This record gives sequence, structure tokens and C-alpha cells, in this order.
Amino acid sequence: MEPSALHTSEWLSLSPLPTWVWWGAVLACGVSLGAGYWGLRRERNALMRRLLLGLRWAAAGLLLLFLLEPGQRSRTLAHLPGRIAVLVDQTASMQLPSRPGGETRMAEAVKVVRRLLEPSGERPESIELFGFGESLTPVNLASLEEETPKAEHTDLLGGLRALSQAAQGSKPLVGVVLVSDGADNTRLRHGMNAQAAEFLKGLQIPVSTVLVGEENLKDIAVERIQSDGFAFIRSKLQVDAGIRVRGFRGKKLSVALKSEGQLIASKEIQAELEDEVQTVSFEMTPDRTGRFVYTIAAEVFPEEVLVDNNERSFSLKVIRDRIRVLLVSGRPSWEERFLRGLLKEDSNIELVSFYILRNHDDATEVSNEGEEMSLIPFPMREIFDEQLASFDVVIFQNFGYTEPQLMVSLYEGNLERYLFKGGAFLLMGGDRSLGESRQGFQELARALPIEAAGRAEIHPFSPQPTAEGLRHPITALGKDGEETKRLWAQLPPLQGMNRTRAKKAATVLLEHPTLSMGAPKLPVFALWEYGRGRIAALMVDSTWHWAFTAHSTGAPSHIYERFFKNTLRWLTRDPDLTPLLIAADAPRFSTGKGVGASLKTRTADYAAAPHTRLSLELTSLEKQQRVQMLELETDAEGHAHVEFNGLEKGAYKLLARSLSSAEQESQDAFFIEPLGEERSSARVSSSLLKSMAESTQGRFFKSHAVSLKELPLNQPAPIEIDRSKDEPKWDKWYFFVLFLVCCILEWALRRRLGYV
Amino acid sequence: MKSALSLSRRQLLSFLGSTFLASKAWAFGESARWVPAIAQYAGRWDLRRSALRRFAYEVQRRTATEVVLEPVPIPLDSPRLFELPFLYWGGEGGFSPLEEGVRQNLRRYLEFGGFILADANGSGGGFEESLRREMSLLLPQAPMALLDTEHVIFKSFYMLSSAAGRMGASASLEACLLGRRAAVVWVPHDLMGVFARDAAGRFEYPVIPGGERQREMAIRLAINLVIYALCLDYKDDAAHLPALVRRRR
Repeated sequence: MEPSALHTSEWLSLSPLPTWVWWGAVLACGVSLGAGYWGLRRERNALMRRLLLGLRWAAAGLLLLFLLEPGQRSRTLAHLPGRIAVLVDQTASMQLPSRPGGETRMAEAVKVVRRLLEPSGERPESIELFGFGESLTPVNLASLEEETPKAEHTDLLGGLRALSQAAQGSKPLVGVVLVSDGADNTRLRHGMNAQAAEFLKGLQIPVSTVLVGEENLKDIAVERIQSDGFAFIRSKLQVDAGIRVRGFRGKKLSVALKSEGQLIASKEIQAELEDEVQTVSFEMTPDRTGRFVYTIAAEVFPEEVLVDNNERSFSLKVIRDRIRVLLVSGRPSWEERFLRGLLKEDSNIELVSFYILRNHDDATEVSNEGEEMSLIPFPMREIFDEQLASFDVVIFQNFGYTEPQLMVSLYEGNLERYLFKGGAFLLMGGDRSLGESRQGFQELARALPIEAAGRAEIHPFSPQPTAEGLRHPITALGKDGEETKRLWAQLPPLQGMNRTRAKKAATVLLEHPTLSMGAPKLPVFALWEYGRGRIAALMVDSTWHWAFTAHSTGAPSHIYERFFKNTLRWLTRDPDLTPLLIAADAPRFSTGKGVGASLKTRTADYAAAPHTRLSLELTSLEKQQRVQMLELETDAEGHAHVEFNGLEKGAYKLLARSLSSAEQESQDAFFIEPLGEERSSARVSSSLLKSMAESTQGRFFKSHAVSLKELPLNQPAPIEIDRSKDEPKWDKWYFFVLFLVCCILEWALRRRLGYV
Repeated sequence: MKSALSLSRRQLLSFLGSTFLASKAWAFGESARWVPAIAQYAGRWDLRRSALRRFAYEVQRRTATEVVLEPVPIPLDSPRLFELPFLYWGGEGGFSPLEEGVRQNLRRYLEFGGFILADANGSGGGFEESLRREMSLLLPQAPMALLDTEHVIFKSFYMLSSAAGRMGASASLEACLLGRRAAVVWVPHDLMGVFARDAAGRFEYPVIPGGERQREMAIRLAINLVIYALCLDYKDDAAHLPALVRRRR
């Protein structure tokens, strides 16, 4: 359609003279007229005075006319047709059905676009198509039909902002059509706000909105889960789930918390409104450390438009809150005092301690012990029977058989079983322990990595790390072996040690520099795993010199702290210190994407375990069914990486086992979620799209009612379509003649009247 | 109950025996033992040197603590200070300001876990002022604070309701606290004076005003201070509190 022409003309000065010349001329004319008045002030003949002044006015006016050079400019203008931008929502929610059992929202959007593109002859504007999701991109009808919308965030304002910032075309943008389900989940998640309205007004373009999808769909969705992502073992944890219930007013439904296919808890809620989010809270107390996948599942009803969003998983890493340590000390000593100071300082340690402050033959000089002394009986049964399992680590510091009433022989069996089942024990030497004790341990001795081998060694010495000690995480305190040796060598010497022999399977990390029992040197610090438990033995009672005497030179040394904290980490199986470690690349994956997991193997003494053969089992926790089982071998660095593809949605557990050591295993869990936030809710929001249209003087349409003819559009500014023509209006001969006549006549009259 | 004021034959034998055994057993475990170190400085530092030996004996006799009986004089600027976490600092009369190097050594000693029992021997006579001056310079962040009888020092071994010494008793002690730990405890009543004996084994000084009962309470306070230095706030642990609160009532 040809644009209609519009002819216009306007007056203007054609003079090339600068402005100051004009003002000079106006001033000169003013002076001339003033002089004329002054000169004629005594003229009695009023007619003659008026005539003379009139002639001067006329001459001055004509002179200004010549200087201004007035003319007329003729132009031909036209309103060219603008362009209309059609923005189509390409986020994943457009995959959802527009109505129960109906076509997808995108299919409905395509119909809308097709209708807008139909040549109707009604509007001259051209139409440009854009898709918006993570970004704004030009699209065409074919790509809209073929490509699956999969952007994960609906940001309606972002799409419009990108359009306004895009390069301007040759044609002015006169209107925008936004085709969407209105399920914004970013800035307009909660509807329109003043800031958004301000932005939309600032666009100065009518934005018409077209709703695709039906409102009032029936759907139940686990819309959100509030959980910290980690929890403390044996501590209560609350998980809140936001359940969106749409179209089930008055209906009761159950919501369940499951883990590894097992039901943990279930609650019933009743929908009170047509569309609402109810928060359901679950409490649970994890009893194992590690990573676990939990699922919140809401009841499914047949009339729901979408059932995939009825459940949602989350991953929880269960960690130790505080290591519960039992410290039993044979008597007050500096060794006990500095160890207590260290353990009490650490907020991650809950210390329960019992010290033997008085022996039965000590003379306390009191008549009423219960009143005058602060001693309490050592609660042997309570500690070693009832409470034993609650401790993560038990430490015996210089505690042995010295007192008849403190014989732990009745409870040795308990201790041994506690260790075999996964407990941890640190035996620290002294003059009441091991070979210095009146009586050795019996059942407990089986669990120890060393055995007493005579009376104590009495001379001061500096322990040195063994080859295993140079790489074990407890004793490898330097960046490399040399630094580790140097750090140990610079510590104050220890004052004697219990003489022991390391058992065959034990790992000795620190040894006496010279003394030996046969070939190996005397062990100073040794450890091993007993059943599922971990046990370490330190054959000295003077490590407090590392904490105190080491500071005599003023150089801060934290070797004492690092040594004992590393020991506790190893004893409590800090996940970072296990010989076999498997970790999924992430706790959560999306369907269709590969799932990666890394494996790391180390020897018992923490060197990299190259070419270790491992089995890896992938289990679906919901189906309680093995999905994949494979064998693999780590590389020369003890590392391996595996990837699983084509896994369905759900929770999975990875279990890696060393094929050479049945005791070594590691596990991790992850889940695959088909639904991003986009597809977890069937929400359609007409109110948001209506508000947006109103804010911009646009119009809201339902998809079937969209009409190009009814789109409110801006009128484009007219543009010149032909060359303009300037016609001078001052260069006429009669203006010159008139000017001359005025000048001559004034001169002649003045002469006659005697003014010249 | 045997009186603590007389030295029985059994106790004497025990004393001698423990001395003998201690010297024999020093070989292993000595390092973890409590040693009565005595601060050596430019002042009257050794007025209670022999009393410290008797003090160590009482600690050995009454508690499970293994001790070294012989007091060890130690200059305040010595690096060997860091082998002796318990330091007795007694004296009478003022003393000149410590050098900055000495102060640095002591400051490090206290901050890394050392314990000082400061005690005015005899009538004091300027010692308290000098000691307070040094403490304010050593630990400006920890001015002397009152410890009432709720503090763990008053229940670390014996249940005590006052802080007694040879020259009197008070309802509280003063201490410089580093965090929650009392690093320096000040006793103004000549605590060590209650242990001093003459060559014949008789107590050297009378205890005023409370006599022998006050002496026993002072000995108990001294024992509590040693147990506190060795066990810190052990008696504040949750396992002990209910029983101790019951006994206080």
C-alpha cells in the first residue's frame, strides 16, 4: 500500500547573513526612526510630520525585508508504515498443554503468530518475529513450529528490555505483541509492581499481550522445597515444602517424604482456595553421615493437567555436628591439661571427660568427703555401657589398671565391640599405661594396633615420621616429605615413651629415631582399622611440650593442634580422609544430560593407589533396583571418572568398592530432575498480561481473539519523500522602486520644509 | 580422720618413700608431673622456697597428681620457663620494673598456657604494688578481676567457701583472665606461709586469725589451685555440676 502524500509549505528567511548583521540592521533602523522623531518634534503641520515619519518607517521596513530575504519552502511528506514486533515466549512452560489433553501452549502460540502474519490488507505495518527465553532472538514461523521451547526462566520484562535496546530498523517500531502464558518466574513472579509499570510506560510503545493456555487448570505441584542442603547427624531437621494446589478446592490430599524409596513421613492437607500454596513441614533426624536424596511427593489425581510436578527431590549432606569425645585420664597432668585445652577450644567438639583426681590411698584430710570434696564417683557403667555408643571417639590418656575400683575389665568387651562396629579410640601412653600398668588390657588389647613390650624407654628423643608417616594425612604436615621431616625435627623432644611392638597390620607413622625391637624401630604413633572401627596409639605422655615448650622461642607452632585434630579427623572418618572416595559431579542433574562421577583411590597409608580395580554400582533408589554395574581401574594417579547417559528422572545411589579390599567402599547420591521451575507449575497468568497491556496503552487478547486490526499502534512520525523547494519572496522590482520612492520623497519634502 | 597438722610416722615414711620413688620414676612420666617452679627475680623471691617443697608433698599426698618435690628456681627471662607451666611468684617488698625482654617472655608464657600463682609473703610490703604494676603491663587486656566462690577454683578438688592464707582469708580471689582461663591468680594472704616448717618439722608461722583450721583451708586452696592449673574448668563440666550444686546447698 502506497503511503499517502502530504504537501506542506512554510515561510523562512533565505538570508545567508549571520544573525548579528540582522540585529545591527534593526538597531540602525531604530536609530534612524528615533532621529526622524527628534528632527520633526517642532513641526507644526501634523499631516506633514506623519507623512515624513511614515516614509521613513516604510524605507526602514523595506531595508529589513531586503536583508531578511523572506521566502517560502514547499515540502512533500508521508507517514511510512512502521513495524510490529511479535515476541513469542520460548520458555519450557510452553511445552505444557494449554488445556487438559489439548495441544501445547507453543502450538497455540504458533496459531496466533500465523494469524498475525496472514496477509489481510488491513494494516500496512510489517511484522518481525522474535523468540524470548534466556535471550531475545529473531525467529520465523518454521523455527517456532520445529524447536522445542526449553528456556528455564520466563522474564517478560527482560524480553521487552532486550527489544527496546536492540538496533533500530529502518522502520519505526509502532507496536509490540507479546505471546505468552504469563508464567513469569523472575521479576514479575508476584505480578505487576510499580517499578515494572514505570519501565513499561517508559517504552512509549503499546504492548499488546496474547494469552496462550487456559487458566483454571487443575494441577498439584511441589513448587518449592526449603532445606539447607546439609544437616547434622542425630539432630532434628525441618524441611518445608510449598505445595501448589490449583482447581481442587475442598479436596484432601496426602504429601509424603520419602528417601531411597522408603516412606519416612506423610501428612494430609486440604485445599481451601481455588489456587493456593500450602506449606507442609516435615521433621526428620538423620542417623548416618553422607549424601542422601529425599523426595517430597504429593498425591496424584487423574484430572491433573500435569503429573510430573507432583514430586520433587532434594539432596541432603548429613555431617557430624560436633564430634563427641570421651576423655578418660588416669591422673591430672600437663598432658591431660593441654589436650583438654585443645579439645575445649574447638567448637566442633563436645568433650565429656573423667579424670582420676584421687587414688584410694591418698590422704585428703577430710572428715566428710561428700561435703568437703568435689569428687564424684567415676560412672563406669553409665559411660562404658549405656553411653558408649554415643561417643564418636574415646580417648584413654595414661589410663590403665592402677586402682581396684577403676578396673574397666568388666567393660572391655563393650569397648572392643564398640570399636569393631565402627567406634574410634585413641590410646595415649604414660606411666599408668601399657607396660607401666599393673595389668594389661585383655579383650581391648585385641583392638589395639600395638602390644606392650616391656618397661618404658626413659631418655628424651625426637620422634621421626616413617615413610608412611610422610604421606599420611595425620602426620604429613609439610608441603612435601622434606618439609614434614623438618617440622617434626624442630619440635621439642619427648620425655621417654612406652615400649611397644606394632602389630603386623598396623601402620606406624612416627617412630623412635634409634631404638628398635628387632628390625623395626620402636613405634611412637601407630594406627589401624579394627573391624569398622579406627584405633590409634600414641606411646608418650609429653606431647604437651609441642603445645607449650615449642613457644619458648616465640615462633608460633601449630603442629600440636594439627597433629591432634588430624588424628580426630582420621578417627572419625572425615570423608576427605577415606582411602576410596566417590563423588558425583553435582547433587542434581537434568534429564537428558550426562551424569558424571569422580573416583579417587589411596592406599592405607595415603599414597595414591594407581591402577586400583573398582566395582561401581548405580542403583535407582525409587525402584530399589540396580541400574548399572561396571568395573573400572584408576589411572596412575589413582583417579577415574565415569559418565552415565540416558538415565531417567529419579534418585540414584553410587556405590564404589575396591575389588582388592572388601572394607573399602564409598558412596554418594544424586537425583535427576526432569522439571525445572518452568515445568513444575502449570500456572497461566492472564492478570499479569492484562496489567502489562494496560500499562502501555496496549490491549490484552485471548489467543483465539487476536486481531491485527485491533492492535493499538503508535502513529509513526512523517518523513519527507520529495526534495523541498525554496521560493524567494523579496526580490521583486516593485519593492526596490517603492524603497527609492520613499527615500527620494522624504528627501524632497524635508528640503522643501527646510530640514535639509 | 588424721590431722594434717602433725606429721605421723606413716606420713613421714610415705613422704620419704615418695621422694625415693619419685627420683626413681622420673625416668618416664616426669615431664607430665607437676613441678613447683619458683620465680627468680631481682627481689626477695626465695622466702618460701622450702615451703614449696612441703606444698608439693601435700599435692602428692592428697591427690592423684604426680609431683616433683624439689622446687625449681627459674629466672623469668629463661626459655626453660616453657618447661614449667606452673610458676609460683612470691615475695616481700617492692621490686624494680622488669625489663621488656622479660615481660615479653612472661607474656608469651601466659598466653600459651602458663599459670602463675602470685603470693604476698609475710606482710607484703610493696610486693603487691610491684606485682600489679607488672601484671598491668604484661596483660593490659586482662586486668585483675575478682573470682567469687562460684569460680571453679573453689571446687576444683575441695569445696571451699573462702580464700584463706596465713595472714587472713577473703571471700574471693583476684585473677587475670585470658578468655575464661585464669592465667594469674593473686593471693594476698601469704598462702605458701602455711606450709613452711622449721628444721624440727614444726610449722614455722602461726596462722592468723583462724589458727589451724584456717591453715587447713589455706592448704586446700593451694591444692585447688594446682588442680585448676592441671585440669582447668574440669569441675564445671556438665557431668559434675548437678552433684556439686547439691553439695553447695
